[in-house]
Amino acid sequence: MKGFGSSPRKISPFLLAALLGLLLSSCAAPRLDFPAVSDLRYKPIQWTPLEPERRVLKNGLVLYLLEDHELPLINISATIRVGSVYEPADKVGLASLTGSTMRAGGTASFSPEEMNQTLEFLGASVESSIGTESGQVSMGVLRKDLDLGLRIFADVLRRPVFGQQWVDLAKNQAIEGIRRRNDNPGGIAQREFARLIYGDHPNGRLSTVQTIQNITRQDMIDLQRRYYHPNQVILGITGDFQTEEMVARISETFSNWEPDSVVYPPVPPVPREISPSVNFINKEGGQATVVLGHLGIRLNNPDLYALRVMNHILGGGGFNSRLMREIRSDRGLAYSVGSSLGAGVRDLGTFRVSGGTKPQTAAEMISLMIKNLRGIQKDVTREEVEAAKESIVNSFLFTYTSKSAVVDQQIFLEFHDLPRDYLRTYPEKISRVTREDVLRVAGQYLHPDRLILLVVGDDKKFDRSLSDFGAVRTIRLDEPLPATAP
Amino acid sequence: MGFRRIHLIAVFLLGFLWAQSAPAQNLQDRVIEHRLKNGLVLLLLERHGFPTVATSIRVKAGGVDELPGSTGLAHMVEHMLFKGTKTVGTRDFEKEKPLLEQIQKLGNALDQEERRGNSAEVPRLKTELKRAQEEHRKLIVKDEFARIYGENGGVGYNASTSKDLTTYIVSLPANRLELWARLEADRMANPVLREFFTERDVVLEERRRGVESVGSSRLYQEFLAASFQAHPYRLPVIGWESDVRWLTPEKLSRFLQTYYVPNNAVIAIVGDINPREVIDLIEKYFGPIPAGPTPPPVVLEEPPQRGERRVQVVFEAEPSIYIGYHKPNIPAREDYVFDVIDALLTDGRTSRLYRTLVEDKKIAYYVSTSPGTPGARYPNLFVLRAAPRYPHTTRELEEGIYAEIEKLQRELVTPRELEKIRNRLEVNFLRGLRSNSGLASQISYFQTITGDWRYILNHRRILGTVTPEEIREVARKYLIPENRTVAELLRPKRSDGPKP
Repeated sequence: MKGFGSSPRKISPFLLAALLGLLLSSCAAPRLDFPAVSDLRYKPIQWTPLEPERRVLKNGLVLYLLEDHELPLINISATIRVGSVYEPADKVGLASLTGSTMRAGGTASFSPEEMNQTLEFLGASVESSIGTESGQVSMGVLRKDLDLGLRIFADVLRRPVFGQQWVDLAKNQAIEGIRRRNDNPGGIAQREFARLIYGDHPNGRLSTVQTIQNITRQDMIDLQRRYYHPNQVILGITGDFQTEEMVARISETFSNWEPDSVVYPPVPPVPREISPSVNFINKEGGQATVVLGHLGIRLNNPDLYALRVMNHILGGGGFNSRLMREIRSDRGLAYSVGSSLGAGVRDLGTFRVSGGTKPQTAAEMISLMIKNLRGIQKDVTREEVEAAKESIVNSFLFTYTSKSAVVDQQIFLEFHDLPRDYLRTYPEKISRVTREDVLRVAGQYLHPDRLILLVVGDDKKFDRSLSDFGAVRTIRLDEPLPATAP
Repeated sequence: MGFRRIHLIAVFLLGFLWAQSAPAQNLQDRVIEHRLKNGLVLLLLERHGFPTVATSIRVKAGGVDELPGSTGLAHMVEHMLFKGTKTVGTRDFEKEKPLLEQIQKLGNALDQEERRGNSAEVPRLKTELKRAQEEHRKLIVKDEFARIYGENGGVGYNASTSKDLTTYIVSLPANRLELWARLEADRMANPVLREFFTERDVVLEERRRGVESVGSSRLYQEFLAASFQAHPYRLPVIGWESDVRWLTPEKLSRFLQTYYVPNNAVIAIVGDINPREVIDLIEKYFGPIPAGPTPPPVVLEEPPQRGERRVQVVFEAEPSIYIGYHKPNIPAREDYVFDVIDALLTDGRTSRLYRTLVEDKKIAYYVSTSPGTPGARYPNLFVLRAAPRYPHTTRELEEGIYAEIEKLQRELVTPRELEKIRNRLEVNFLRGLRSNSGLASQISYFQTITGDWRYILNHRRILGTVTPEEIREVARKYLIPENRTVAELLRPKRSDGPKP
């Protein structure tokens, strides 16, 4: 009973008594006896996902509503068909800065000062942002403050004024962000990997001091005028209200918002032909950060379900994945390692394997990653497939842990033209995935011989030269930036 | 006079709460507290609507309970408790035992020879250790806790270690609570520290990734080490590199034995539950675990600081700064006052430092504050963190920050500003009630730290009694240069740059 395999509490007196008990019963059972996990039985869960109410106003504004009376709060979130994919290449950053300045720069009826004071005194919030494929304006208020909150919310959506000093502040903050984006190797690796995959496509573009400086107040005004029309907006409303009253309130607020057609700039397709490459960025630090992979799939791909199961087994399932087991748990080479299978809504996403290890084991980790990509193409056990499926299906409940999540998902489906029953049928489609499906999609969608490999680290300390994986191209990060006007 | 004024404000605030805070009242009535005979505290909150539960186990053991030479111990224990028990993670524990002993002997011997720099013995021991580990691996069911939770629909299965405590969380479909009770009681009662030497390497990788590669993490580490000279709040939770490198299974066992006792733990379960059934389950599984002696408190006190301390970290990253002031911790009255000062300075777009440094002077990229760093069990720090916007410097930020602090020491805060802070706090409190995992986290945290989860409810009431005079007094007493530590992150000077 010596050694750390025995109970670590063996010295304490209470344990002595327990040990005696154990000896008396003369069996090898643990000190405290627990039933086998497989003997536990569970009552089935009876539950139907909630359905939010959907309404469409005359001007095309779509509403999803779900009452929630637990707390005296109301949340409204607008999703707008706008995004950085549409911004010009010489003004990368325009969409993002327009999104934040719509709120920060004041509106026709509320100066920034007035808006901030009013909202914060009530503990309320209105925020705005624009991402790659959509924009958001959100509002959270106590029920009693709905009137005022809604006025500010509607004003931010429809009548932002983009005060010049706020445009300048946003631009200067963005430039400072650019100065700081090479501080952290993890951030560098993921960002530069996207650039390697997408090249000049909007998904790979990166803002620079120049593209930020090119942005004017008028650009922001034009962007907001061009895309923010009621027929391009979906509102999600949850909280402590009565549905019919709320519909009336929203109609009243937005009835004079005229619809307009929007012509979207064409977005080029993601280039399919990418040649494999080995890329290196020199950066001192404790670890070598590795990202390798290639293009992924679109969300509407019928093989999505088999691919989700495959990725779960490979590196998406945390501790239960092969990459985590082989690289972290068995060898202690990494703290964080895994794979992700990006399913793009508009075009192909990216498939990536990422991890960090000390420079002295960088090549060893890369080899193990590639070995596992090849491995899952050759062999998958039925047990692995069943375990992955159970995990995905049983945790599916957590897709709906709040009423706002239920509403957000319905909005996501409508926004991206996905079938309304997409989520409801998801577990069933996962259940139908077979071992053969997993092997087939691993063979079809993974390309271990056509990888883009990127390593950020100190190559003087690597265990083997990266040239073992192919001709190495060195990427130079931006030099520390020149002074810009404060 | 002072007393009278406090009283009036309290009455005003009670009126405010009365109007707003039915849900808080509601929370008070809904949290069920149950104490097992072995001292384990159970907090339950029934919340229907979605068929899920969030669980949180807090053990009052963290970095603060370590000594130099064994830093990183609490965190390493947290990692090792993922490795299973005598019945989880193993094909046959009896067969494992001799191998576990052999691995421990080999590992300890290898450590010893490596420290001595004995290059003759090291390769042999390495080979033997590797062979034993490979043999052992045949008897292990890898990461079985994670696998069982995964297959049963668990999400967010994770753990974390802070200076004050260690936390184990997972959310599950509501019908899987018995599975959770069975696994977690087993984890508390029968942990087996298997795969120790590999996991120690994982933690070293975690350190390289989180601390050594990130300038701001290095800065924080140096900042704490300078702020505290005696108290263990000065030590990094993940441990100093060389301490982690030589941690032993024996040290871990002693730590587990001292701190992982039911009378040093709190469990919170929030969600779609029937409290009676849950209490029975917990009694059944956790009840038989024997209590241990009350773990020792940290008696070492930080001596009062007698002058400004300043440290610099040179690193390839853009500059930033930490400024800290020693202060009393929960439940001191001053701690509440600092919560108000924290909100005044940086909570929201109308907060004082955000407005002055980011919007008006335009010298800051960001500025934030924290009223209780690095923990709350012992006297701690009020901390300001900021980064300058080029070409401004950390020194300019310091000047700007000190000017606002002087204003606090000079002028009384307006009642409207105080009212704003209370209103925001109230709504944030309500927002925090929306998620099962957030609630479980909050009530278990304050139960562990303060001994009563109701701190959350009383906090807002007491905060409402903080007066403008008190704020000025606290600022004058604590936010002074003699009580201050400043840590600056600076870029190395370029050797290849133009010479003057």
